[in-house]
Amino acid sequence: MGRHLLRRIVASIPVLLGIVTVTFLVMHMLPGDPATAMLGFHVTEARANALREELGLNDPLPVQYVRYIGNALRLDLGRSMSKRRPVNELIAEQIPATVELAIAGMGCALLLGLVLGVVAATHRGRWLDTGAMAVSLLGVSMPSFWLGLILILVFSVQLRWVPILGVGGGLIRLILPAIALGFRSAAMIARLVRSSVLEVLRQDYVATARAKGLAERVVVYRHALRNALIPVVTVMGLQFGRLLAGSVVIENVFGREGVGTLLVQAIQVQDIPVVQGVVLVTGVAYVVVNLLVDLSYTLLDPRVRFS
Amino acid sequence: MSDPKRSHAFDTPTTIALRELRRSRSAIVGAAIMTALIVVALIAPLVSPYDPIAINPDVSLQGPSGRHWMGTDDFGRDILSRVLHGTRISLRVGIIAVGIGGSIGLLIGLAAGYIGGRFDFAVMRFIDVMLSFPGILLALLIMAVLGPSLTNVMIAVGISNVPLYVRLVRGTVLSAKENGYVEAARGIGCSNRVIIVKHILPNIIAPFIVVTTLEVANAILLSATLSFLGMGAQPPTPEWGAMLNEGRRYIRTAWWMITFPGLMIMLSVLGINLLGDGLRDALDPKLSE
Repeated sequence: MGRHLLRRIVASIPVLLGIVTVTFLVMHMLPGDPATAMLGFHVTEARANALREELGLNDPLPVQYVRYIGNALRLDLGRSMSKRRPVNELIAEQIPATVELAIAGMGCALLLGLVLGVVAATHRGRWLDTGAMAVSLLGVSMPSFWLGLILILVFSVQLRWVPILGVGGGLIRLILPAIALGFRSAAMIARLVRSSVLEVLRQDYVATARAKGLAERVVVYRHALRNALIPVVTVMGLQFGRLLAGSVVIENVFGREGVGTLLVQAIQVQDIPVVQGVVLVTGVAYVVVNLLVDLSYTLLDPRVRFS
Repeated sequence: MSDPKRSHAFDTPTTIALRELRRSRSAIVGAAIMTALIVVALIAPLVSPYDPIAINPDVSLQGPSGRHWMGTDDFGRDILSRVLHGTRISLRVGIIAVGIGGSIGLLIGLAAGYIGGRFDFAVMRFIDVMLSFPGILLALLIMAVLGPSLTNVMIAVGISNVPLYVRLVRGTVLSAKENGYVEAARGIGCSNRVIIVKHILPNIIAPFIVVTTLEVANAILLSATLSFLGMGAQPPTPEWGAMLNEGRRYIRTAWWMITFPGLMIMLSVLGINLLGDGLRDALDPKLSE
């Protein structure tokens, strides 16, 4: 177990280093001068050069690269050009709101996905199955930001059940953004749960459980669902990463604070250090979450450890 | 009508795929939706009742009616005309973005799989890193530097698609090049170009078509998202994502401004997904497993 854990952690180091490299390279390989981008095209050459000097952009690329990695390891992500504050501070302030939204979105995706998937599998071939899978197909095809707008239109504007934007208190203001964010993942989880439950229901031990005279509900929930959930856990890591990235647009729709809003604002004013910082932190979070899910998968299914 | 007793033993792969495709109900629905959207995109200027960018303050923010079936926006522009022209833009953006990603990915994947060795190793490690970024993040990173425009959206979405294609093509090349007929072609002195074009590329076509179809849906979604965030199409371009961005300001008073463009995005993504799933089952059963 310890060796497996160590091997997985060591294997993610090159990926993390790669993420830092890509974030660094994209900003230097694409056409355009970051200094002009930050200051605007009407800036004098002297001013642009002074900023290039300040940011170290006049140094050779390898020197800049090593400095960038060194700074990133010390969690120094530079200073925001527009807000004139350290990038790591700005990001740290916004992380709780984004994580809260992503967790709520994941909860919503799991709840909805499990219910739809189990209902579809246990009513295979009947109208409930068709209905659940139709909802799931719509979920995969619907843009999350549009679903967010429609939820605001129905529940805030028409029914007035929920405050219109990210104002108002507590859990209630988290519900609509969480549904908008999690619906697409719910649709994917529903399809997976359906096929996974159907697969497990064909196993011998389920036939034995039925032969013992157990109620169908006990067979499905206590015997089948537990094993059917293993593939769902694997997908959860990927989905959680998607939700973190998807929060960029959902925060924007609902006027919520968060890392996504910070990123969009930074892109609008070409605040390159903030863009780099947010992409770097989100990319690293994505890898770390996947690593954690991988490890929890090992705990759930001992076969993985020995394969 | 085909004779059920007729033997299918000598059917070509294309005939088999077309027969499978015709059997799939979802593929037929998807193909019907896509055909309708392509026709709309082609004849949008002919069938649009109004100029999609002509401003007419006298009729601003009017609800759906006999004169304006989908209502008008804050500038009095006809939403139906804008939605119809938007079909043109969104399909073009989706297809060009996937064209960019697919062609770059095809070339890199072919090279990595065929050359192998250290080159392959280096390329694949880079691709692993690219794949560890969620697509939207990579696209936003590129948009941050390129600046907002529809052309830049196509480039950003295209580039964020490259890793997927490289992995797909490289994997197929690796297994195809182990086939006996490739060894035989090499044995009789065929050039690398002939081996790649005649013996390896045909293996890639089926999975490539399937993934490309499905990716057009993702590209439409991603480019609409970027335009919604104000980074893609700029006003007064009638792009669906940009229209939703304009409409959200009037969510309390003009529900039609956010309803119809979103429905069109959903319809096109749904159509492509249905068609793509059908194509996958027909052309490449291995992918659906």
